[in-house]
Amino acid sequence: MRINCPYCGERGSEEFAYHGDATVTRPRDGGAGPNAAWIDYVYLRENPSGLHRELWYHASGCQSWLVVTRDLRTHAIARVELARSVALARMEPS
Amino acid sequence: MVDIARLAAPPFAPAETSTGNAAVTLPPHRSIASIAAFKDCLTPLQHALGLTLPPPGKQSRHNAVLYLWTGPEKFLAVADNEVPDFDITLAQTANGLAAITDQSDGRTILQITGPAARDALAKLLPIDLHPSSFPIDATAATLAGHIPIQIWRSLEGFELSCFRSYAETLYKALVEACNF
Amino acid sequence: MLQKTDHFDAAQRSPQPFRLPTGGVIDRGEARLFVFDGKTYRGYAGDTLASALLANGIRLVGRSFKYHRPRGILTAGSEEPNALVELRDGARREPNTKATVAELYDGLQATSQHRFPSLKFDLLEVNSLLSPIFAAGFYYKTFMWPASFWEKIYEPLIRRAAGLGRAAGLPDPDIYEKSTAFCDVLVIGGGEAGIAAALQAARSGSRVILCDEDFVLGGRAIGESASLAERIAELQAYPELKILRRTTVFGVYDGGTYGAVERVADHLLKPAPHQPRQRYWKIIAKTSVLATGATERPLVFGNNDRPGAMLSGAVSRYIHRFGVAPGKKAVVFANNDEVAGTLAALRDANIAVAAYVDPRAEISAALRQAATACGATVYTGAAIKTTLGRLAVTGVEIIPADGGVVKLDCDLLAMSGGWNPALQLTSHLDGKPVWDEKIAAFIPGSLPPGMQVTGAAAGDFTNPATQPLWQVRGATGKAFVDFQNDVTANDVKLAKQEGFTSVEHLKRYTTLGMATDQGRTANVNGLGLMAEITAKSIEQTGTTRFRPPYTPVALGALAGAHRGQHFKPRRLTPTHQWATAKNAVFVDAGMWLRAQYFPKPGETDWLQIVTREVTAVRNNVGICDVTTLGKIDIQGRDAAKFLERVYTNGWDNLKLGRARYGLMLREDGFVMDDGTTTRLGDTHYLMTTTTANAGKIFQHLEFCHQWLWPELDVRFISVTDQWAQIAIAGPNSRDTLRSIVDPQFDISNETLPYMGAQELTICDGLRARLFRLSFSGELAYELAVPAGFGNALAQKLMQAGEPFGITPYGTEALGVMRIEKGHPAGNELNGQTTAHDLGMAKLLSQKKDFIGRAMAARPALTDPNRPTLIGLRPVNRADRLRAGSHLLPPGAEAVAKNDQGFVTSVAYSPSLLHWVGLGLLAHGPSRLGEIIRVYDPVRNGDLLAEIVHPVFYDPEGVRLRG
Repeated sequence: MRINCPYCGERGSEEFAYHGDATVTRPRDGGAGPNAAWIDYVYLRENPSGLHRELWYHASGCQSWLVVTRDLRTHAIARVELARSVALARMEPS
Repeated sequence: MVDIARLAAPPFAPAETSTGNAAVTLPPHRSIASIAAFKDCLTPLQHALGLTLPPPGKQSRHNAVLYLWTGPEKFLAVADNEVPDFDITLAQTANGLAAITDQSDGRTILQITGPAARDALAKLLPIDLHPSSFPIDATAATLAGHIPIQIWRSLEGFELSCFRSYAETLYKALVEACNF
Repeated sequence: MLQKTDHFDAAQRSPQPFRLPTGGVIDRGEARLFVFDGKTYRGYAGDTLASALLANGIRLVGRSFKYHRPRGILTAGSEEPNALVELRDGARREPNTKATVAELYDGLQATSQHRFPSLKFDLLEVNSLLSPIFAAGFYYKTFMWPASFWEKIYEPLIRRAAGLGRAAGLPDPDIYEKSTAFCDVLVIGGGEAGIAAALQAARSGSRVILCDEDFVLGGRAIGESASLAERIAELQAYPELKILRRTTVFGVYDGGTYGAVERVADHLLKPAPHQPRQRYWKIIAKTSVLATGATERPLVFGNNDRPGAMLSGAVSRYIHRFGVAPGKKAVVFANNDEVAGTLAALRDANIAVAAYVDPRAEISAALRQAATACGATVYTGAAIKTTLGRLAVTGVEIIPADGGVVKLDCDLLAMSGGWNPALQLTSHLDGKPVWDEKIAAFIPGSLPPGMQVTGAAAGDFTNPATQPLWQVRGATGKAFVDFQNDVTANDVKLAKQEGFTSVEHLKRYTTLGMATDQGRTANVNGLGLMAEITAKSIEQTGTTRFRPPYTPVALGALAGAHRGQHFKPRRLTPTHQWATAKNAVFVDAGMWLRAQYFPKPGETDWLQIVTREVTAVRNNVGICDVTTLGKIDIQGRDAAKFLERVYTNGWDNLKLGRARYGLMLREDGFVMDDGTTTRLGDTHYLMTTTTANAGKIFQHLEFCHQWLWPELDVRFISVTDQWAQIAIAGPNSRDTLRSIVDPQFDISNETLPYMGAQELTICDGLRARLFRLSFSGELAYELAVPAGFGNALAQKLMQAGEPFGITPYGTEALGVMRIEKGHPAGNELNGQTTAHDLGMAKLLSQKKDFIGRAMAARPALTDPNRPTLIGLRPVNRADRLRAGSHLLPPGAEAVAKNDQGFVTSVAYSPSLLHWVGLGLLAHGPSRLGEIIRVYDPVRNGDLLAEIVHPVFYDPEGVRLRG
């Protein structure tokens, strides 16, 4: 598989480390107790037959975290974004 | 008394290596520092340093120092020679706008030259080093085999830097790759 | 090596009875001697082993997998199912080598496989007589009783009777290489279509790579086309056109990535020094052109596998390319117009053709003309019933249109059931081929991104007309569909009878298409036959999915240089040279090589050595390289805030020049790592991690910063390699250091207390950092200098400590001392333990959020019934404890339900003079004083131990605060 890092260009998957689902958000309740939101965040995952947004780390490259939108059936990558940008955008009050 | 200040040793003892088509050498020690601009500080940092730092995937030279882009707002400054207190001077000039860390011993630089250098590197690196994809002002962070490296073009050929602890392994792998 | 013998000399002069007087793309001036089954023969440069065998009149080359039937050479390419030999001897012996692609080199040695005692007389041919028992799937129905016999008797016997060649069983003496290549156009196949595509791309300025599995470019045009040489010459004119011969593209992968293997030295007796045997190419291509041509399939009739029955295209190739007559008198049996080429070739070679047999009622005038020009009698609407002969074809029986049987003598049967475009690569990314009625074969359907198909691979045949004939009705004798796995037409019918009609079931039930040739000459016949007997169309029947690799790939090629000690890169510490000079014994610690212990001259018992080292440290002073622990430099306005969020304990109040132990959890609440973090400046910290987790923690910090808290202003950089870090431990450590620390720096207990840190200089101005940290429990420090000074510092410390009897110590002694002090390390931080388990619950701050906080509070993670950290002391002090032993109540049955925990770390304690251990035990801390059974059935250990507090040595911590 090849991933188009926004900084480094297209690189082979051997340069990256996979983390997991990018659609789950860490609960902002201070983490006092293991409530349902926390259990979902740590364990519950969708397994879509189609596009999936996931986190990859360019470990042997620029060390940027990336959000990759990938079709799990065909492996085609639709989009690669900087995780930092996605995270900052999420923080903006909607 | 052992005069320790004079006894910085290279990471390994290089052996004679040259097939004529490609050669690997360990150049003399240079001062190196890492630069990581703090939040929203890249522009004032360049102002303070008096130079433009290179964009992603590029290198640039100012006053006997090579600057290599290594990550977002992160750079490696490689002096042509050993410069006493290189990181301290750089930190002072950077005036708190960046995290500056000495890497003079943390990284080892190896050189590979010769008409077959690119073919030798193709045995270890997964990126395209053809001049159309990797021109004279290019640099890249990638792998050589399983060793993370930074590679850039030099006038003589290519230079690679790796963590010092990997230097002997990388050197041997490059020498092996020069066999055709 | 070939010996000079009479036989050798005779071979030099051997006449090669089936070599044509002229022709062939071979070098008749360069003879090559080879040995097959112990006899020496002669061939020429440019031959394959198969063509040379045929030239010498050798027809019988192997015995089949199941029935041990005599087999010959069916094809002239990599689709060969029969002519499999063991090539070479000794460590390079390679089984199942196709004689049809093995390039003939001088001194080649080959042995036929799978026959005893010889090819001509194979005892196991008896299997043929028992064939009703050995029909497809026999092992699902027979050899089942008694049940115990299957594993011990039946299966081993069946395995020994089946199987093909033997692996060498010795280490591979060759080296392998890997290389990555990039191009605009990858042309797969160097026949006429491939050469044309490569030239077109090169002329337009593209970077091109052209791969062909053969050693000569040209495919089926070799020896047949006059203009081929000129076009091949033009290929050489483009510097950006790379030609890789002897290279098979074996797989198509995501992202325009292709895998290929180049057989660099397979055609040499031995690789040259430093030359790889094979090279694995990872090719990243923007676009590709598939020009792999088409593979012929046989016809299915009685005894169609007899030596002498050969595919018609192969007959042409042996004549035109190799200058070999595959026989003296031929019969040709085909259902398609491409066979005209073979008829012309037979005529060119002056090989008599007794008959041309075609199942079609009408054939074209051109084809009829080609047949009669050979002198053949033409039988249309006809088919071959069976071949005759035993070890070779001596004749055939024909069923003519009007019935009856016609018997003809011949020694060569050229057959063709049609041609299949070689489209396997198109389906590696789930492309689905489509059936083409005109050529009665599959052609590429959906393609991988960026791929085009051209030539015969796309179904573009010069003479396409084909009428499918999936089986000859009225055939007698076994009619083979898959030659290599001995699958017959009856097996296909049996599968249908038993309900295995889907192609995926047909394949697995009969093993059709599962051999090393992956059914290249069998698959279409098999599913054509199944379609016919189930009265379905081929579209309805479908085809199995092709997966990489297209042809077998040596594991060595995929491994490349990453074998043995090169499997992972080796990382050396900054004191490696010094430790080597001190005769240290080294150990692998992840990728690092670390000194394990330092034997003195004459010392051989590791336990004694390590005990000596520990005693020296606890009584005097010792040094140990601890550089490998991860060191991460953290700077920025929000550095302390960040540390608060990743560690369980507090950091806001850490003063300048102080270090603190930190615990990190995973988000699921389990312990991830630990270390000490030191405050070096207002907004400057140095974090340490365990050796094994250095990379993982760095990745974690970047994750937290870039994804969870991108608003924080903080930067990280690894400095593990920048600083050589040496532990100096023991009552005399301070005095040792005093003599090298520059005089202006005060390192007294008051100025540098336990857990203090100072940036200073040593040895007259060398920049250094001194940390008062103790893993050993003694008065101890860690001194860091730029890594280039590591060896010199070690020497300097040895000098400075000489008056105190300073001793170097390694990872073993390091381990013993931390176990004596009850410090959890890797064995306890195993990813399944919580802070509570390790007695560190008090490090979980109640006042702030941190990674893992919420989930660590899960009741199951704080349950006292969980195995929790305790110490173990053998009741009988002479007993030896072993890590991994399980803890059971004394007297209880040694079964899993009574298991209460296990021993995690053990050491012989020189301080207490007996073995001690750390372990995890249910309700551990509340059971101090209890006696427990320590049970180790793997190493026959069974003893009693007392549960004690895990800190065995100086529990008050007096020594490290001195």
